[in-house]
Amino acid sequence: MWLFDELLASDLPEDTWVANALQRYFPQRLHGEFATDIERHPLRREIIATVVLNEMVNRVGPSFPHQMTSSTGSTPAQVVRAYLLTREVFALESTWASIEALDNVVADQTQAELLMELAGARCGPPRGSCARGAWPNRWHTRSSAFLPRRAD
Amino acid sequence: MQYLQAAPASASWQVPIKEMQVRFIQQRVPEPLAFEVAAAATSLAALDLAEVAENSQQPLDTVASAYFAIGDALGLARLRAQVSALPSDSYWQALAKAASSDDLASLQRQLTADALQAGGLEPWQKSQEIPLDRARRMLSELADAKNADLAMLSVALRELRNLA
Repeated sequence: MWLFDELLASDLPEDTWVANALQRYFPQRLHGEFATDIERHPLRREIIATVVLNEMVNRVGPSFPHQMTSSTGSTPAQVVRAYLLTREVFALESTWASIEALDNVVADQTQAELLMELAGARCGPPRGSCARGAWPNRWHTRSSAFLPRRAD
Repeated sequence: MQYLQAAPASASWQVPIKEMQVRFIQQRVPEPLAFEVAAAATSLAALDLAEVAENSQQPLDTVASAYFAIGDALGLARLRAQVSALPSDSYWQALAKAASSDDLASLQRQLTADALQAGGLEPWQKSQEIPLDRARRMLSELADAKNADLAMLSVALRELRNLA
């Protein structure tokens, strides 16, 4: 919830690129006819924040935002933005989809391993820190080249 | 992952990637996907390469060759492995570890850019003969150490800074 409030208070939901999440929230069939109504939805910002947060936490885990804010000094909004950028730059959606398409083709265990390897979450429970998986995002949150360009 | 073609196939850091790929293929994962996931840990290099290529206005494969050649010449892959083997039990340890690996990445970028500017690896190595020698000696000493700690690694990074 802290994260949600932070995002809501930031300018992240105003970013037109991030705001694509709003369309994803509504069923495909509404996109054509009601596109302008969707844009004017009174809870527009709340929906965008919820969708991007959920997507991120589902993929990289609930401790990720805290880890990134504390290790890079970035704001939660910057972390989310960096996460989304990383996902796009490395076309991770399509890789995730190919792994998920292996349902009943490979063992569950293998699928989980692929996903974890990709997320860099290759740390055992006792350690609990996933520094290795954090790197592309770390790079983005640090990189002066990426964030300002995205922000304007 | 195309950039990996510019890397020497014999490089020691390629071994775990190959092994993981083979293991996934044995578990019936399609080959391209197995490779993509196994080599995912190298994507950091892709960002570094893109940045150096952009700044130096050099083609990507020229940059990639120089980048991997430098990594090989200095044994940076081993250093990276030593950094990631550092303990991160406490908050500060984790931060220090992250900072060292950031430093290492920025060093490799910087050195690659320098080498490109000097006209390639060889002229660059010639111009840096003395500090390069020192750095190599220190790194090989470090390579022999069983459990390199943060103190050793920060000194090594400092030594590499002298090259940049």
